[in-house]
Parts: sequence; structure tokens; C-alpha cells
Amino acid sequence: MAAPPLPPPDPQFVLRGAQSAVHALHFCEGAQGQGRPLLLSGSLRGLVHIWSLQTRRVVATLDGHGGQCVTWLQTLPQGPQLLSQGRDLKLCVWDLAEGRNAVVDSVLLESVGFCRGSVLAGGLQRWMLAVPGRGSDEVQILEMPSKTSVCSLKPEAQARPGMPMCLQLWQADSSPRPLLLAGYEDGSVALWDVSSRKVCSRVACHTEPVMGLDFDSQEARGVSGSAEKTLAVWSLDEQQALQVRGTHVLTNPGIADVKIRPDRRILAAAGWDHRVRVFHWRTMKPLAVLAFHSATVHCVAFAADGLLATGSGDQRISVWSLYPCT
Amino acid sequence: MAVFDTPEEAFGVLRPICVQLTKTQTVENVERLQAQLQVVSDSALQELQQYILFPLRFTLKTPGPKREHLIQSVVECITLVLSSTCVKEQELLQELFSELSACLYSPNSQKPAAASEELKLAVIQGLNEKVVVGSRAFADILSENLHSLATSLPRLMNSQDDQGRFSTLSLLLGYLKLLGPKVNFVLNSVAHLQRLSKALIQVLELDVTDIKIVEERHWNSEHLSTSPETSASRPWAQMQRRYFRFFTDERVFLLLRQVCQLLGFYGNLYLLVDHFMELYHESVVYRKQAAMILNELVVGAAGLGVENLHEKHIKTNPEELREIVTSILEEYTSQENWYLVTCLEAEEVGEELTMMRSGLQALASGAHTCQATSPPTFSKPSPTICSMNSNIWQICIQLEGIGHFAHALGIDFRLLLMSALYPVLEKAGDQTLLISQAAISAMMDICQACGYDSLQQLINQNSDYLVNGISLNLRHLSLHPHTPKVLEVMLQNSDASLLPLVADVVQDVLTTLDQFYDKRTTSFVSVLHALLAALEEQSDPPEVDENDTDPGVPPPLPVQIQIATDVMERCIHLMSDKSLKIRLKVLDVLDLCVVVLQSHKNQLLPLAHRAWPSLVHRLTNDDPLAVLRAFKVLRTLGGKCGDFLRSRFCKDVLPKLAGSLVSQAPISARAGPVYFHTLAFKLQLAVLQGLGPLCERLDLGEGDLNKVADACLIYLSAKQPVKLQEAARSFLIHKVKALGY
Repeated sequence: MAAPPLPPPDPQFVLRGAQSAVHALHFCEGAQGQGRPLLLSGSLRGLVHIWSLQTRRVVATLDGHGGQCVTWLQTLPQGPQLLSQGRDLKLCVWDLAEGRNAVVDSVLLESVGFCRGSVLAGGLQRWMLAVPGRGSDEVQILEMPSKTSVCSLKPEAQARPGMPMCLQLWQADSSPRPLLLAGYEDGSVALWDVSSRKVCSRVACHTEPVMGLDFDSQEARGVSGSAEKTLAVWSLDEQQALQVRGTHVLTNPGIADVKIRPDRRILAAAGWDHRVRVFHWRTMKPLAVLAFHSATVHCVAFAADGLLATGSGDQRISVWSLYPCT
Repeated sequence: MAVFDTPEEAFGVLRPICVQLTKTQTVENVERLQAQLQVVSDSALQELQQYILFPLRFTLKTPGPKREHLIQSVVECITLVLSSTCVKEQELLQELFSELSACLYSPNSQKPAAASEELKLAVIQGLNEKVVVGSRAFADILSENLHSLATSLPRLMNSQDDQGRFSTLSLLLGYLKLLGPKVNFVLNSVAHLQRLSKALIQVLELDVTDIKIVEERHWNSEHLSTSPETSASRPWAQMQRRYFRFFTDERVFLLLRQVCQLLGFYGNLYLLVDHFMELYHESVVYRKQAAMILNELVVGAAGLGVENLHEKHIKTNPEELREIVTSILEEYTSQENWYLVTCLEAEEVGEELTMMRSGLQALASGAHTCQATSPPTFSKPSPTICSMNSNIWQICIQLEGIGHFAHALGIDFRLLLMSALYPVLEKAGDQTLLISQAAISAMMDICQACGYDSLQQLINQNSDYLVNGISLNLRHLSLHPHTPKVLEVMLQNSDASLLPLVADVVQDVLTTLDQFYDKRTTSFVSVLHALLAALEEQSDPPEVDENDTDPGVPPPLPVQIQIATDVMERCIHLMSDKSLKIRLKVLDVLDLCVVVLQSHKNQLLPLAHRAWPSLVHRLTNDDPLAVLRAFKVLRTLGGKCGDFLRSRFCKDVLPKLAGSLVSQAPISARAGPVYFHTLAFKLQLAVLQGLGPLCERLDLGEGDLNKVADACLIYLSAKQPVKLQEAARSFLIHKVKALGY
């Protein structure tokens, strides 16, 4: 007799109380001594909720975006500090140390786009920030915390990639030069050398806007999802040329976010079809379809220990413990 | 009752017997001295302490063979003196200590003295608390003694009577108290730990043959209004009365618990919990006892009810204790240990194959315990009853453990509520009386330990944890058939602040209901009823601020209106269910929906329109009980939307009802007493009773009213059964009122 199929996985637990659609998620591993990680969520109505994973309850609510959707959250090691980006065209820097939750600085953004920012935290003192720039196709690079503009990355006139949709700053182990991966409205992904302000390479991955991308710098391999029915896996060769390695066709169109787990074993893709799909990162073999939400899944995030959080238009955040972390 | 208060008086009384004892050392003389001591005041005793101890110590020290009984009575007498006085000189203390220790240990043989357990017990009690603990040589002696007692313990527990067991266990307790943290020397020996645990497991075996346990049923779920008792000073010490196979003396059980608590307090908790957890897993034969022991180990580890004689001993740290408790809790509430078959009713086991299968396994594996436990003199109850009893006790013991754990962790237990509260609440609604009692008492414990004023507050403030469990379990309803019950209890205890949370889970409930229409309708309809009852209680229609609303976009519906709309939608389908019980309940839910929706006519009227045909069917073609409920719904509806109802009622319902009243009248006029039991009679009565208040409420016109009145008039005849006459008269009074006379 054939073994019965494994039952579909269940969330470990579900966080309720965001009170509007969840658009951003980020695990904060907690400063030394604080132990338990926190989960941060950003909502459609502009609030950031800080959840204790120990009690599974909100420990603090941050209101800094005038009721406008919070699209991106990122913590910085110093402080600890939190960056939150909102559709109110503001990027807030929060001080979260010792239970404080005050805005200590903010950056005014010049583009209404949907593009989330990206951070490259080099030294403890200074860090680099990439955000959508003034021109609709531009990316602006700032040095923080001084907010000094480093440069603006504008594609050549004939390229016409449209708006930047998603960004990822990174640095190769071999070179100190900061690099930026950007997914564009026309479905292409480009690699920028920030210092020389030049596009190293650009490749068409999708026929629809790129909604999310993640990059595994050790394998020099990345993945992107778009409004269409495919996930694209691409790689970077030693000449820093991007190349599409393969595409993975999905049942339904629309991927809002993709994330590779820190141990680089699995990949999670947030679907407009209310589902989260999990793949083996090396082989892209589909491992599981997480069916729990009753609306579009807007964002996914992994904790250092492998815990997966997914945020949805149904106002819920589900937390999953899948395939033990290595 | 001291008669002699001054040392002078006391000396006069005690001197002769002390002299006598020094001369002739017999049990009788010791007992006489002991008797005299009872009438001497403590202060006088303190003055004469050394004088009285002299003949006693002299007896211990006299060379030559000693009769054990004499020694024992001497030691008991010394204990009495020491317990009422204070040893002020260091020298005396040391001498006494070594003299008493010698009774436990014979220096020549390098082995524990071959003294009886009673004697050792007397010595231990004499040494206990009054003597400085910490002598190394003494610890070695005790350790040696404990080793040997552990070895013989299983045999002693098996062969002794209750009095003997009491003495042996008292001795064991004494050793543990005196050894303190050094008890680990003994526990670290695998062989000795096994002997010790074997004895405990064996003696704690329950008698599970009592049929009443399975039979006692619990029907009422409105029991959660009680507040936790704060008067109990040692709440962890309370428990349900249980019956053991090998002993009846309650004191033996008390000692066993203390032994386990001391082990938990001084022993290596990880080692002990691992050991007894293994036994818990090993066999259903050990499971209940192992759980009892685990429960007490945790109580002891937290230092509850344990008097620490060893200042240097450090209690288990709270973080570690929490980890240990979490792991035990996980085990207790796991699918295979929490969902055991405890009754054979169809609604419990019949519906779900999965439940049935796991249940049968539990039955099969439980069967042989029972044969071992049945007393041979009585007719053997069926193994099924025994194994169900055994399962009931296992659940009760585990519930009791959860209550203990709460006290052990105190406010820290709040962190465990996310996993503990749901399973406990689930059992609070269990049909077996013993289980629901144990669950409620566990919840009381939790309230007290975590600082909640009432069970309602406990449930209310942790509804997020409950909703999480409910929503995840609804995904696998066949594995968790009691989920709707938990939601129902939660709803009964929730207030308006939980509305968003409730709204969230209601969507899950409705989705699940849509998938399981056939199988689980009863429990879901109960949930819907509890839900609407809660909404009705909380519904203060919020004032809509006209200035604030965008005229183009209709404002979003309030949560409770959205919920009531969704539920009423389902009621339309469920109103024609084949089960009368369900139809009745659905009519009640429908009635509540109408109440909640009264301020939202735009939602209510279309739904009422769709519900109408089925409602008419209930009124004109259903059981009398359903007719009455349907009338009630119409009355409620009539109060909210009379215009909508009036013409439809006069067109669709009134002629049929009036017609049937007219055609039935000659039959009931001729009928004998048997007729009162017929459906026809009950229907006549229901219609006559229902029409009056409804017609009044609907404000019917005179023409329509007269149609009904004509039908009712026939029933005023003296030939009609009295009840029908009364109902008709009552209707006509309503009519008079309706016409405004």
C-alpha cells in the first residue's frame, strides 16, 4: 500500500492584531542579552507592530507614517535601530534600545514608487542606503547616518527599463566595491557598480515588472519573481555578467516577494494566490505549498534560526517552522 | 494541659521515675516517664532537660545486648523531650547526635544496624530538625541506609500492611530530609534509582474498577462563572480523591507525595524527570503513576511544601524549571496522551474514524492493566470500562499536573498559556464529570498562580491564544472534533473588546462549516448560537457620524453586522435540516440574527426575504416545537420590519393556519384523553398560542384579524379540550387589544 501523502503543513502559530493588511516583515534577532527574537510588521494603515515571539503578542506599536502603508522594515546593528519606509515618502530611523521607540532621524524620499529600499551595513559607524530616486527610473544612494547623497543611478536613455521595483545592495567577498541589484518595471534585472555608477550587466528575466528578488552572494545566484507566472533564477559570472539559468513556472501568476533562507537551503515565494511556495534553493524542486492565508501574501521573512513569517492582506501573520535549519 | 508549671513541682514528680529508670531499664519505666512528661510545662522541662535525658542516655549507653523495643521507646522519649525543649550546649548536642546515630549504624560490622524500620524511623524523627545536619560521617551512614532501603523498598511496599508502609515511607522521608542534596549519591546509581522508582510506581497503582467514574456525566457548560478560591493556603496540595490498589490509608498517599516532592527538591531534576518520563512512555501500566510522580517532582522542585533543612542547597532555577515543565506539558497534551477514549457514546467516538482507531488502540493496550487490577472477589467489570476508567484517571492526573505546574511556576506560567490553556478548556467541557471537574480545578489553579481574578478573565485575556488553537484545529476538524466546543466556551466568556479577534476566527468557522455541513452541523450550530448570543449582548449599534462619511462610498459595515449577515446566510440553508434538534437551534440563531441586524435594514430585509419560504414551511408543515420557534422568529421580525412581514404573512401563512384550525376543530371536540398526546393536538395548541402575540405585533387589519378570530371562536366551545379553549381565549384577548378596544 502506498504511504499516505504527508498532510499539508500548518503554521506553528498565527499573529492576529495587525488590524490591516501586512505589507512588510522583518525579524530582529534582539540585541545581546535580550535573547528572544522579535518580529516586526508593517501595515497598510501605517503602523509598525513589534511582536514578541515568546509571548506571541504585540509589545510595541510605532506610528510614524501618517497612516500610509509601511512597505519596508530593516534593523541596523547599532542601537538597535530600525528603518521603516512608508508610502508617505518618508524613511524613518527609530531608536529601539531599552524599550525606547522614538524616531531619531528621517529621510524624505522623492519617488512615490513601490520600490523598497536596501541597506549595506559596512562599519558600525557608517552604512549605505539605496532608495528610489527623484527621476522615476533612478535609484539614489545615500551615506548614512549623515544622509549625504553619494550618487544617483540612472539607466542610459535608450535602455528604458522603467521604474526600479526592488533593490539589493551587496558586496562581494573579494572586492570592497558596493554593488546593487535592481529589478525593473520592464522585467529586467540589472547589476550596478555603485562606485563607477555603471550598469555591469542587465538581463531580461520577466515580461512583467519584477516584484521581488533575493541574491545568494556565496553562490553568485539570485532569484526574482514578477507579476507573471514564473520565478526566474539567474547567476553572475566572474565577469559580472548576469545570465538567466532557468525559469520555474507556477500555477498562478503574481509573486509579491521572494526570500532565500539564511542557510541557503530553501526559498520562499509570496503569492498573489494567497499561497506561499517553498522550493529547494539549489535544485528549485518544489517542496511545499503553504495554504493558510485568505488574501494576497505581500511579504515573507526568515529568521536566523530558520523560522519563516508570512504577511497577508487578510491581516494575519503566520509563522512556520519548516525543514530544520543546518 | 500542663499541671506542673514550676521546675520545683516538676522535679518532685519526675524524680522518682528517673531514679527508677536508672536502676531498672524496662520499656514500662520509659513509658511511665513519657507519661509523666505530658503533664510538665515546656519551661519546666527546659530547666530539667539534662536531668531527664540522663536516665535515657544511660539506657542507650549501657553495654550488653539491648532489646530493640526498649531502644525504640527510649528514642521516642528523647524525641519528645527534644521536641519541647532546646539544646543549648554544643557538647550535649554532639553527644546526643552520636548516640542516636549509633542506633542506625553498628561500627563493628561496617553495615547499617540490623534494626527494625520502626526503630530507625524513631531515630530519624529524633534527629530531624532538632539536630544540626551536616556531619559527613552521618551523611555516609544515611546514604548507606537509603541504599539498602531502596533495595528492599519494592518488597516492603508489596508485603507490608498500611501501618508498615506508613513506617517505611516515614523512614524514607526522614532519610531524604536529612540527606538533602546528598540524595543524588543514591540517585546517580542506576540500580538504586530503579529500585526506588519501581517501588513508587508499584505502590501508586490505582484501582480503576469503579463503574461510577465512567457513568458520571457532566451536561452543563455554564459553570465557568466561579472565582478561584483564594482561601486555600496550599493549593497545590488539593486533589481529587482516588483509590489505590495496594493501600487505603490516606496518610500513606500523603507520605508518597512528600517523598516525591523531596526528591524533586533535592534530587537532580533532569535525571528524575527523564527517568519517570521514560516509564511514562514505556507502558500504560506505569503511565498514571509516573504522571503522579512527575507532578509531585515539579511541585517539590519549586520548593512548594518543602521545608529546606540545608541552607546551602540551591533551588532549581526558574528558567530551567520552566523548560522542564514545558516538555512535560507537551507530552501530556500530545495527541496520543490527551485524546483518550473515555466513553462509548456515538457522538464521541462514532463519527470520526481517526478518533475511533486511536481509541481502539488505547483500549487494546489498556485492557491488560485492568485484569491485573480487578479484585477477585467481585464480578469483573468489562475491560472496556476499566480501560476507560484508566484513561479518565490519566487525563485527570495530567490536568491536576497542569494545575500543579502553574503553582510551581507562578506568574511565569503565563508564558505557557499559549499551549496549555486550549487543552484544559477543551476538557472543561468534557462529558465525564471527573474530567471536567479536574479541568476546572486546573483552571482555578492557573488563575490563582498567574494572577487572574476569575476564569472569565483568564479566558478573556488569553483569547488570542485560544483563537490561534481554534483556527489551526479547524483545519483538521476530524482530528480535533471538540474545537467548536472550545470556541463556544470562549464566546460565552468574551466581551466586546474581542470582537475583531472573534470576527477573524468566525471566517474560519464558516469556511469549515461550509465544508462539513453533514457531519458536524450540531456542534457548529451551537457555536453560531453562542456567537450570536455574544453579539446580541454586545450590540449597542454604533452611531454613524454622517459628516464623516463619503456620500459616494458606503461606509464599511460594523464587524458584528458583517458576522450576523454571514451567519444568517447559513441559517437559510440549515433551517430545513432533517434533524429537528438542529432546526430548532437554527431558528434560535435566526432569531438572534434578526435582533443584531435590526438597525441595518439594508442587510436584514434581503436576507429575511430569502429566509421566508423556509420559515413558512416551518410554520405550516413542521413539528409543533418548530412551529412555536418559528412564531417567535416572526414576532421578532415583526417588531423590526412589520410592513415587510404583514402582507406576506396574511398571504402565505394566515389562510393555511386558519384553515387547519377550522378543519381540526371537529376532531379535537370529539377526542378523548389520548388525543392530548397526538401531534395534531400539539400543533393546534402551538398555532393558537403563537397567533395572538404575533397578530398584535404585526398590527393586522381588521379583516385579516377576523379570519383568525373566526377560526379561534370555534375553540371556545366547551367540547374542546381545556388547553385549546384557554389558548383561544388568550388569542381573542390579544385581538381585542390589537383593535384598540
